[in-house]
Amino acid sequence: MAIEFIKKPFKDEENLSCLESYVKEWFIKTFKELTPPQKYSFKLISNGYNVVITAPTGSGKTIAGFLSILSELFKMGKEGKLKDSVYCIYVSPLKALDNDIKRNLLVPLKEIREIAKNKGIDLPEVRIAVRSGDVTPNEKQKQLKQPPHILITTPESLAVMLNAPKFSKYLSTVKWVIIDEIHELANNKRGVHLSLSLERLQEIAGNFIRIGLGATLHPIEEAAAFLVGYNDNGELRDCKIVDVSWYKPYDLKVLCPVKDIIHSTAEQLNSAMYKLLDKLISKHRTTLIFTNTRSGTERVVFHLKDKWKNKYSDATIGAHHGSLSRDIRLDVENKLKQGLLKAVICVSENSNVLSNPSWRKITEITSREEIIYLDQDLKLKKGKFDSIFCREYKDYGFKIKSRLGYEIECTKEHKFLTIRDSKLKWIEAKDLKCGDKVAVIRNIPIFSQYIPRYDEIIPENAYVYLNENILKEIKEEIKIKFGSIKNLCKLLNLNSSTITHNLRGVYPIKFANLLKILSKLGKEEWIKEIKVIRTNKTKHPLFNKKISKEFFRFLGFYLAEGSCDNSGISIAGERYLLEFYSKLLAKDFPLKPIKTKNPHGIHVFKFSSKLLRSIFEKLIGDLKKKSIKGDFPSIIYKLPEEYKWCFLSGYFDGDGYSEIKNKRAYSLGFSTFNKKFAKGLQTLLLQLGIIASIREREYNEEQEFRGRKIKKKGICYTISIYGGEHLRKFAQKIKPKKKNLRNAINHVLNTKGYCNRDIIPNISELLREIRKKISLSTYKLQRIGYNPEKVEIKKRNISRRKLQTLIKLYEKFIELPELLKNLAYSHIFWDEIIKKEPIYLEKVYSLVDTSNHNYVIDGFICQNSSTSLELGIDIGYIDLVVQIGSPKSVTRAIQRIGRSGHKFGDVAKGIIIAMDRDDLVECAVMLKCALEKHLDKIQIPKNCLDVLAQHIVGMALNKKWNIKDALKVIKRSYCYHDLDEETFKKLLHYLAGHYSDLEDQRVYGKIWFDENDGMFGKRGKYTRIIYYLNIGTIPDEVKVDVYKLPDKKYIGNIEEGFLERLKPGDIFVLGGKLYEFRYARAMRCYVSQAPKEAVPTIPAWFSELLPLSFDLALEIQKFRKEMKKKFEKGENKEEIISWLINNYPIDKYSAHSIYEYFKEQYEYCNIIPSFNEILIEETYDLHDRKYIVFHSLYGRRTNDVLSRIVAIILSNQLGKNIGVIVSDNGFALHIPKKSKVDINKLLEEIKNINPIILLRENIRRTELMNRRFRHCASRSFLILRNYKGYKISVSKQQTNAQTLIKVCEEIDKNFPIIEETYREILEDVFDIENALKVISWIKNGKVKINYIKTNLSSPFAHNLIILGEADIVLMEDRKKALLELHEAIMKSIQNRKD
Amino acid sequence: MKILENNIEIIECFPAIYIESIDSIVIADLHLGYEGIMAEQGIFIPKIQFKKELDMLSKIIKKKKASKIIINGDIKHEFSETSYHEFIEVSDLLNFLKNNFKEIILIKGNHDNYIARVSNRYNVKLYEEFKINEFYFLHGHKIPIDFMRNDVKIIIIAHEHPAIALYDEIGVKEKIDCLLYGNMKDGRKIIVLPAFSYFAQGSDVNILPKEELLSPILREYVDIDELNVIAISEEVGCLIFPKIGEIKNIYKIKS
Repeated sequence: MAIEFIKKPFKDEENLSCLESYVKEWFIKTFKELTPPQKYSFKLISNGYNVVITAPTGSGKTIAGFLSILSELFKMGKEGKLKDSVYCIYVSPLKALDNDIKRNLLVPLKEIREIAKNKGIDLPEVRIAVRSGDVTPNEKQKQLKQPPHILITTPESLAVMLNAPKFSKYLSTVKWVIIDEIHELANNKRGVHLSLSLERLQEIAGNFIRIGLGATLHPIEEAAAFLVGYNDNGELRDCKIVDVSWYKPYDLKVLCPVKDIIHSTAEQLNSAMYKLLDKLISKHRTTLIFTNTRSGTERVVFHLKDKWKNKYSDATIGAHHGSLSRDIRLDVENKLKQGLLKAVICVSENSNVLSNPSWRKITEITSREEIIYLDQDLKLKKGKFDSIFCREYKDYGFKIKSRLGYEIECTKEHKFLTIRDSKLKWIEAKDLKCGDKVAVIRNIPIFSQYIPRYDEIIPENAYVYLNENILKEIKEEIKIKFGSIKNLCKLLNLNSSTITHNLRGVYPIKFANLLKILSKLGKEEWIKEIKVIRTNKTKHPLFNKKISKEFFRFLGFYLAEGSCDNSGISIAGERYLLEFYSKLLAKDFPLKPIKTKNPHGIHVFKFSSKLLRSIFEKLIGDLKKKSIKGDFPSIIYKLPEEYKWCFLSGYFDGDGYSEIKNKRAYSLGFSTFNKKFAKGLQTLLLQLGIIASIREREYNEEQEFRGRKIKKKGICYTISIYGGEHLRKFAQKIKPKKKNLRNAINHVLNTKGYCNRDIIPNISELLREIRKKISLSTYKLQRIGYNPEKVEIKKRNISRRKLQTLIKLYEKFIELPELLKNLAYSHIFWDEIIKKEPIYLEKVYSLVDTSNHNYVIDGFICQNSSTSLELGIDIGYIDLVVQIGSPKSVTRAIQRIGRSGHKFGDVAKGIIIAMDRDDLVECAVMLKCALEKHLDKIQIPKNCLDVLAQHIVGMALNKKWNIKDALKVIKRSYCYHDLDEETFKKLLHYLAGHYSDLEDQRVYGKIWFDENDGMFGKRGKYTRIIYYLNIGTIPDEVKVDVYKLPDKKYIGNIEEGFLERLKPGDIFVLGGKLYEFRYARAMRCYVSQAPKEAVPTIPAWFSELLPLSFDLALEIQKFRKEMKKKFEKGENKEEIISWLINNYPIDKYSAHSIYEYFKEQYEYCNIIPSFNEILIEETYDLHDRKYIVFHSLYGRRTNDVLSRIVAIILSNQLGKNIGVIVSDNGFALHIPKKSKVDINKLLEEIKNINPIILLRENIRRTELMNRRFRHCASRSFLILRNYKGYKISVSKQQTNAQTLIKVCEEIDKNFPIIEETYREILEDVFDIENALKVISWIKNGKVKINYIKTNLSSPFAHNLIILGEADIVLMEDRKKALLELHEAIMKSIQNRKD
Repeated sequence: MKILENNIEIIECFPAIYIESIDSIVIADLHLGYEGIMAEQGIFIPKIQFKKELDMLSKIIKKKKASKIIINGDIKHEFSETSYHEFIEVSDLLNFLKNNFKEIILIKGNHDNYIARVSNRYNVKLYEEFKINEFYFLHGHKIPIDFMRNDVKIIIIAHEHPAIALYDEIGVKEKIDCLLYGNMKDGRKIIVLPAFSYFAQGSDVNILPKEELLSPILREYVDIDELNVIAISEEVGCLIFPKIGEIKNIYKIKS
């Protein structure tokens, strides 16, 4: 027998003795025992058998598959037979797993060699490498020089390798191929693609051993046949099957969150579900929760965090969704395995977060504060964050420095915003290089500003006067609250007689005492009533008022040129300047300076005022060592713009510099020794919209001053304003007094030009694409403004200003991508990385859940921890899997639940929480099937012509083929074993361009094909490139962007198919909110906010819902039959419920709800549709819409077919369009109310038609056909996804697919790619096989039809009708349809006039 | 079907009109060479448009003899500067027209860069806009300086590719190309021609808000809701619909 189950494990010794002694020793040393798959695999693989192993997660599958091979490779090495060539290829459908596997193998490879060495055996290294789309060309080059012995790759990369001119020669030595996750490959086109690659590999390598690994699936025999394929003589190759997927015991249960699921409201159900979930999570160590859709997953995470804020946070909950997209799912799963992903995007404790209005240390900021983040439109906005995350890192991260002088210390995985290939991309620190451009802020948005009063900056030891009125009020307040001043003073430990005097207004009161009193009274706001301030009781009165501009200018100057002693402050410099600043100060402080000269002969003005001194101390901190340790006064950040300029002007007069050469201004700026000042100035300038860089200069020099030598050492910081518009703006606003600076300003104002560093990097492709679209020549552009040619060919980056010019030009012709416009006017400056060095980080921090997932750290725009999806939990510790809602297939349930109890010997514990009545029935039956090991079948696609077309091109690139030989290779694949020569030739004709007009041959032909000689081969110089760039089977999906009117703000996206269903005025849900559809234009959908009381008129798209498998559907039918019998027998409630609980893995609530559900159906219409029965129900919904409901419980894929067939027949009979609603449990036809349906006539026709012909005609007119045709067309290179290095947008692919399909049909009705599209829809999307089975059952009477009429739909039909239409069967006669529509319009107008 | 005091006739079920007083057939938006441009972008559509359009033209000529043909813009989908090959279809078309008309008048559309190279060769006159008697032909992608001239009574534009979207009780959408005509805000008449192109995607004029219309003339000088609609399709011929505003009302579409 070619395919054989191995039922009995070999003895451990039998397995281990197959291994080299040192490998065996390593195994025994590392593991205690052989796991179930290993008890078979070591021996089988060593003996050279093809093997399929299915086993649950955590059963040592990887070692089971690899260890014999490692042993063999080392043996070859020992014998000197190991060449520089590839011996083993490991293929996994998931790129993300590749590095994992490599890591997992590197350890044994190393340890085995060490053990051998200790035994005196010197083994050569066995090399291992990853080769996938993510591997750099450099790395690939390396592999070419020194190929790995074990190659880890993906199906797509394997196909590319088969055509790699140089690398493919290393494949000639391949002895083993391991296919991992075979259950993810066997049922789709990726697997089909791989099966052909394997046969092509066989052409290069000769026979090799095939090893398939995977989770449980059914039937395994078929998966094995898929893996091994056929011999040249047409016989299945041999294969041994090891199925140990059931060694792990399963503990399964369905729970119903409420006692009566039918009569509970959605709210009750939801709240009960979360309570249940919380209870389950609390009782277990780690729970893995599955839902069936991504949005469902996000909802669960959101609600858990919302309901139990203290319990669930980003740090404690992870989500895992199992939507149709396997890749995304596996990717998340892989991230889970890698551990706490969220913990790695972090920065050091020295980091500063940009908050409103300026920087805050990350260790000090609280979630009550607002932070600044970058919004979708690339503008900085103020937002929120949830919490701060902190963890030990104890590893090397990076210190990264930019040209503008921004510095950040972060983990290796910290993410920076960049542009790559015209797209915004988050790049990890470890992947950044010097010279890369990353996003930093180009300005700091100001959200509020105000001018402080002096009472906000005075020291506590000042004395203050208050108004009599206020004093009176204070006294009264004290009396009311504390009885007397005495009492209060006792409480505050103050001298009551002083305070009494103070409050009488005799003496000024000490500010500290006033503060104490007012705060005790809760009247802090009265502080602003202070009238006069003094340092002591008599000297220099200061009137409390808003601080003047002049004071801030003085403060700026002081920061640069000031000093202090105990009795006051001084400023130094040229005399005219000092005079000027003295006058400024006098505005608020009427002080006369003492004018002296210091020992160096420099003028010094001293202001003796302790008050002034302490005010400055409060603002700056350490006054004595201000130039090194002083703080930049944070009060400046909140000032109005004009005040900020005054401050800057003062500072500029002190520490400003200018660089003028040949009457040209090169630079203006500031210099300081104080890093904080430098940062402060840069921040302040950013608030004013001016970009400046900070440069550090170390100096260590001796200066001579009047015969004395002064040693100076330290770091000097230069804050220099960027050139061009930044410099000009600065010059316009700054008003220095100093003469040389004023001259410099004048020079600047006369200089033209713009900042050539202010660029938008890496958007060449986008610009080129746009210009191509509007076909403007560069010559013309040159004339009207700007020639972007050099940018388009990547010779340079475009400056922001030029981009703005270009946009204005282009906008006249075309709707520009939002991204481009956003980039041109963004709040981002693309700064260059100039230094990157490792730095040890003990502890790291991150903000969690910030608005739009980002925040600003030390100038850089960084991604925050991550979204909930990526949050990780170690998959090793999972002890419970919860599935919310039915997973729709027994096999899937087992695969998911198999993730719990990871450790060998654990129990896999799984709970399904049912969310509605049909769900409940489904899950109960499903888990019973699971316990009985009754799995549903996979379906392997056969004869996919699109995948084949791709491989034919690949084969032709290798050599000239005789078609008989080529067909022989192809027919070895299980998926093409019954491909006939005629179809094959047809495909060759297509690829050779024989289908289109002669003049177009050049365009179409990718191969040449001579039917007379029976030969084909490669053609055209681009074919190889086209092949490489377009290989693969996973289609691009179209997302339509949705914008909200009136401001056209982006709010999310919807599927293209969904858009097709929308008509103006429809209400639908997006991101949890309701919107009204208005119109669409060019893949953009415009909506407006729906009115509050609106209800959705169109259901959320449910294409991502999984279909119920046919096998499970039949099981549910049988369950219905059992229940029906019980009701017909008249069994009572207790009997039925106890029967349910005893026979199904469900809880009491579930049993109760199932009982109620069936009872209602039985009582309402006396009929329960059951096994081999279809109930047809003519009925109405609450809106009085008419439906014909078919209770045909066969799963959605089968019902898709049945519903269409019935709808077409009915549409023809009635001459109307018909809406179709399809679910797993049946389907409903929405028909015009006045239409009369003759059921007998309908049934008669169902029995007599040719379903396939009928279906094809119908499918042709659906949106599904257009979409699937695009997928097939791009797989077969009819539509290219990537051409000459340009990505072709999906929407463009789609628009053209629609015209292309028309055209192809005109050329040949059976055009191979159209044929493939029908096949894919009928066999892969729908389930034509089982549908035909059902029709034949109807014909031969095995399935009985019952027919009833109801005024309102019966309970079993409810779920169906509320789904809403999934598709529409169009009338065949478009002409008639148009005429009817026209008539309807005219009638409606007539009615109105009447 | 005749419109505008019977001066102008829609030629049966085709996107073309005949104006008796100047003995001219008028068509617009042929977008020849569409397939070539797509191919350049890696999307290979067999070349069928030219054949389709030529078929249609032949049928039109059979129905209606005229001495002049006026092509109101966008004869070509796109020209690249370099490829001579691109000109072949236009050349062939002009050849065909030369054999069937005494005079060919080309009006430049937004896509018609470099068209002069071909038109010169065939001695075909090329206009930015074209005035004859009371008629004023312009493509409609921009507003010419003397747009307000008062010596014209009827303005004929294209560019918009007008179509209307219709919905039935079940919610099925049908889209049908149409010709629009009616009064402009200043009282002069306007006609908006449907596209002749096989690949054209129409603008749903009864769904799109005014500011989303392609032609600035329709946006600024016309109240689109006031225009009359005649749907044109090879399948059903001409269907007279009410004014756009009224169709919008029926579907409760906000203007």
